[in-house]
Amino acid sequence: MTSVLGIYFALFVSLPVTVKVYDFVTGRKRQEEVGEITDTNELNRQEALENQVVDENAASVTELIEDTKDKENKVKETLLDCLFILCVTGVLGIVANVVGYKGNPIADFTGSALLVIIAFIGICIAHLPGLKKLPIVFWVSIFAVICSVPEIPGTAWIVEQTNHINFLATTTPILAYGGLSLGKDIPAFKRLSWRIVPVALMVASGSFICATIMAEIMLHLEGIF
Amino acid sequence: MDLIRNWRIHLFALCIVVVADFVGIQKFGLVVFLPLFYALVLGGIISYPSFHIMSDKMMERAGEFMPVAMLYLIVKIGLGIGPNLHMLMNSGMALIMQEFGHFFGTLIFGLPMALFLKMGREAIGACYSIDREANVAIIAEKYGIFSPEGRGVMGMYICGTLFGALWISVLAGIIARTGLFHPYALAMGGGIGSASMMAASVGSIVAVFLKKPRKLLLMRVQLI
Repeated sequence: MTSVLGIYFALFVSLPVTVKVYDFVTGRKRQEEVGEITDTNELNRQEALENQVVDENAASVTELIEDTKDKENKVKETLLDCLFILCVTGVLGIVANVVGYKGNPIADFTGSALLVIIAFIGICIAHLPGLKKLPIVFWVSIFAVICSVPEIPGTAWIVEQTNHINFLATTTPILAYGGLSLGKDIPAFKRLSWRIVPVALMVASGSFICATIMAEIMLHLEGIF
Repeated sequence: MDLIRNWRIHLFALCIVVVADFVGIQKFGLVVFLPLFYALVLGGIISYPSFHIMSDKMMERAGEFMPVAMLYLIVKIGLGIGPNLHMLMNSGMALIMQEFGHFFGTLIFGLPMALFLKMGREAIGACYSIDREANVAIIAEKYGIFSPEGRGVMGMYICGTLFGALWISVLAGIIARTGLFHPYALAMGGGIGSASMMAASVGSIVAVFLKKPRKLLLMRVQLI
């Protein structure tokens, strides 16, 4: 829900406020500053260099977008691919559970298989005509929630079986793939200014800490605990 | 089915998972290191361009596998929500308000740092949000990707991909172990950025509150 909400929030609240605060603090308007930059030759060259970096990145982003468009055309192939990746992830999940959390491979198999099946059904739902507008994650999570509502018969068994798989065991395979894809961003990163690193860390920390504080306050006000 | 031809990626992933989970959870004071943390670092080392172990194409494929693999975790989270659904319905305002927290956090923490380091208008792009794909698109549409704001947003995007998950897994662990916040609040706050960042933050928080992981997962619905 928030992923959809968050985009509108970012567009209509975050961005205008950030621009206002920036203009207020530095006392400079956009036109002056952008003008300044184009006036200076050296900065111009720098900009051109940096543009190159951005250019490549922009290209990769558009590639991504085109990629997803291509995928829509080949729904069937995509579904097979997804099923295959999910099965591999399922196996990796079992491995992680056995190695790290002393799981029993036979009991884990049912749990892991259930997770894969539910995820795959969720993907199929997301590919139904008319439902494509919302992200796959949305449909998969909704379906998983429905599969665990106690009022529906059979769900208790699903929850019990999947509880054999430790939660942390499901995160390791994901970040293994995530890590393996990091390499492609390293060349682009090397060309960036070092300044962005502390800023990036502060932004991430700020987002996490402030959201936690807000949630803490609101949960207290609403009397959840 | 060209995915089967990517068996080397899967083999690497298997090795990483075995090593990472074999080492297990390690605690040093307030800092908690989780298997997911090692998995990310090991993956980063294997894919490091200078080592020439993986081609660009393979890394790209690995990047495509991740969102699908993420669904496995999403299902696991979703299955924990159903039994506690009524509680979630009661905390709607908190879910909306924490979105404000996400935004003001990036502004309050990020912008002073950016101005201190004398960044120009790049600061706007870098600090207006956590800068994932959708946020890059917003800036690109409004200012163009070649503008100063566009540079800022792309820089943050790359940094977030490289360090976001690492940083968040350490930070979330430390904050959770200070005991200042309720696990629910932490879980809501942890729903930031990309899939890997969320997996890292929720993993670290769960590791700290292992006793009632399922109740904690309830709040992760905002990840939807």
